[in-house]
Amino acid sequence: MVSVADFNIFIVLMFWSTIATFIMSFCLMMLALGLRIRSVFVSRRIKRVLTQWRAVFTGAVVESQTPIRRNDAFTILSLWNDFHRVRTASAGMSAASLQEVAQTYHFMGLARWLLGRDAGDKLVALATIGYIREEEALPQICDLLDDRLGEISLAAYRALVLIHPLETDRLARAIAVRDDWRSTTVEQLLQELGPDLISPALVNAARDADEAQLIALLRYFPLGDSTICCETLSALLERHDEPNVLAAALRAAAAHADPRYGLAIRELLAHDAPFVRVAALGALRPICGDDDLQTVLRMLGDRDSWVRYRAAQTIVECFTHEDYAGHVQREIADRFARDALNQVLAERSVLASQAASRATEETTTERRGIERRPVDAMRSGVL
Amino acid sequence: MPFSSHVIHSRTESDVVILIELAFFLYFLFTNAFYILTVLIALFTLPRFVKLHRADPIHYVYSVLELPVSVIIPAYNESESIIETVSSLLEQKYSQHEVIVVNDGSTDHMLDILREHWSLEPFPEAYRVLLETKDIRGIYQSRTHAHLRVIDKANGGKADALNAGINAARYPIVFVCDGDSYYTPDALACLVEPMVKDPRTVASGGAIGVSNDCIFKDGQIIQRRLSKRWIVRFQVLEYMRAFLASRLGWAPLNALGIVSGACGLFRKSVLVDAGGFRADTVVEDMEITLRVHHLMRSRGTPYRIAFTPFIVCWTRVPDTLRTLWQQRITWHRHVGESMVIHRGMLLGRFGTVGWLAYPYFVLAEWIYPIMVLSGFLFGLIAAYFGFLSYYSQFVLLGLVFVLALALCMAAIMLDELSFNTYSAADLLILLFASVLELFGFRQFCMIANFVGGWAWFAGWPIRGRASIPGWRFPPYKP
Repeated sequence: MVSVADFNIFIVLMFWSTIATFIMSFCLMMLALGLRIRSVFVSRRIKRVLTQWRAVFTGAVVESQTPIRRNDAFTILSLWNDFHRVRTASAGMSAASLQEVAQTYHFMGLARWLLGRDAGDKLVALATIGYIREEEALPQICDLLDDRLGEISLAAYRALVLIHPLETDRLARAIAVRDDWRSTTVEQLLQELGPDLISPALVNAARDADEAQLIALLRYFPLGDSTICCETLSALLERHDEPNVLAAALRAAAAHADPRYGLAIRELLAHDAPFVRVAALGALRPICGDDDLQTVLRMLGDRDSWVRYRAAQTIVECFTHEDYAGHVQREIADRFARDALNQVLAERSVLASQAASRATEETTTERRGIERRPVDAMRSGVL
Repeated sequence: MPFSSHVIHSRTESDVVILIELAFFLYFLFTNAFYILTVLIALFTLPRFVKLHRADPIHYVYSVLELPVSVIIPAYNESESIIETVSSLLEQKYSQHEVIVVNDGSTDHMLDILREHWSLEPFPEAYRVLLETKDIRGIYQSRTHAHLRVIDKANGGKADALNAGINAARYPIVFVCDGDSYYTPDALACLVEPMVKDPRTVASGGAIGVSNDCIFKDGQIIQRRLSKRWIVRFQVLEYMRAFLASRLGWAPLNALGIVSGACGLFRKSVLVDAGGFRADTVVEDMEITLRVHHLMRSRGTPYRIAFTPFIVCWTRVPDTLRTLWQQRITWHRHVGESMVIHRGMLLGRFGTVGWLAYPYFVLAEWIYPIMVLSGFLFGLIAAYFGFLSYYSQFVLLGLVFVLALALCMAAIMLDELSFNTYSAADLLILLFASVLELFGFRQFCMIANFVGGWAWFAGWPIRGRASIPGWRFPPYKP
């Protein structure tokens, strides 16, 4: 009779699996130790390189032309990009000396980095190429515009528009469709380009956009010029019927605080969707007049709690004469409306006391002569 | 050769013994295949992730476009650590966030400490009830920090406190944390990042480090140190394995089974739609994660549950055998509860969760202690009756040990590849600890898990809680 024991292949398999796994464990342990030894050397080297190049970028050392080794290039370029970003973002700081450094140390020729497989290298190279406006890299940049990785495609667009600002139209169309781009990075980029450049591009992109794309684009309309964006926003507020689009348009209108939107905003105060009413109240606040009082008071009794809360905020912020909010608080019969108003008034009182204590603190700080560090430098961690 | 060393009573008897051994071998091979899969995925993704972050770091851009977050800290008798925890969360480098501390009916003087430290005063909040909770006794607002509120409520457990926090949350994203953990200043920025990059992301978890013997100041870690206690060191290894070698591997498959209760970011709307945290389970993190999977996949809505490998939270782990024993019993009970509640997901139309994550949890987590103990028992019985092939038993045991060792080494190697969490001296200790833990610590945890499984089955009562249904939990129906 044939037995399983005759086929001891499984036992043999177990035995060799054990041996192989043991060897693998040992190799992994050696690898971990090796990685640690390597990282000690690498971190020392990075520290030395950063110290050396920080001095170069701050302008303390200009004459030395140490060639950049490929191993150090990533670190040096990252540092250069950080310096450039901080200087261009800070008022009164110039990046001209950094451009000189880039020329002196031959930062050109980074296009070949864009052909590699390393996403980190590509990102750093794209940022530098954008800053130094290296036109020769355009074909490689264009190849990366539709990269699967959101960070890379956004960095490629950034480099493209920094080299060719007229390509902002293309960027705006991409903003509408790429939902994997970090909105704060897009915002930074649009701020770098300025409202004159981005406003027409956003308006053009919004013209052909579907609902989802419109919502994506409308987030950045507050960065645009009010005059250029007004016509598009007004048209959306008056004619669009998708609540999410309306809410997004209302948020953009609130940032522009333009009385030309007034009529459309007031109509939307009666919209069916509560979040549209909330957004409409937000947009009404900067342009609110005495004529709106009755409408806002009525909304204080809305069935949605967030609408009541926003209405209470509007009353407290906009109708400040003779403690009007306090008067409403005493007179109002609706319990829910009074709750909302109580909450907003309590919040204001906390903010006011906090502002007062902060002001006292600042005065004390100034009196002591304590120097304040630049906020941007602190945030970036570069300086 | 293998069978020459033992007495074989008959062909059939030896066949049975070998077939059983073979079954155990296949079981360990199968469960370890999951581990190997996740380690390989982590090995592929982690270095790229870290390099990408070095090249494109999260700059602290204070922008209205950043998603505002409500941080919820459920706290029960946490008077020793609450100040540090809240401080670390108030000092987050983030555009817009609020901190809501929920005092879950503490019997110590935690509320007084909070009141004094942050100048709390009663606040007339228009409290919205989205999820039912125990009675709210009062809401307080800090006069020094406008974005800090404290909710005082009757005791109802962590889940109930979290639900109260969700009701009070004003923002669309909620960050669920623990009252005895510390958070790095960039914790919110790191956790929100997957949601910003991919709007389909509904939840995001972060890696957790062990804070025992680390040095903290004002809620921030000053020095990372490995504890001098071996029991803590073994748990450091466990955390490394769990976060770097396991969860990091599951996340790209969108099959992450647990978003830690100490460090989890959720879309509030999804939590409310799912019915909030369950107060009738022993803990809540695994169940809520599976419920989110269950809900989203049943609806057919595209979604993602992400994981950030950066250590954004530091937490104390048990440093005595007694507390470790209790913790493991509780954790394993919760695995049982979650598996029973979401049994409908097994091999169903739930994609990678139903076909990979759920079977993994059943085989590699839930029944693991049963399999190991029954294997041990089988060995004893077979040896008693003289059926045991000592050679094959020894080889099988060796394989189990070296596989565990390999997994541990892989986790340490992943950490070395990317974060270098501990100093070189601590690394050597960890390498030694990874061998040492195989003898004693693992068996201890496994027995605790077995007892946890029994506690789940028998529905052992828990002090201060209503009866726990144990295996009688009805299945979740989205």
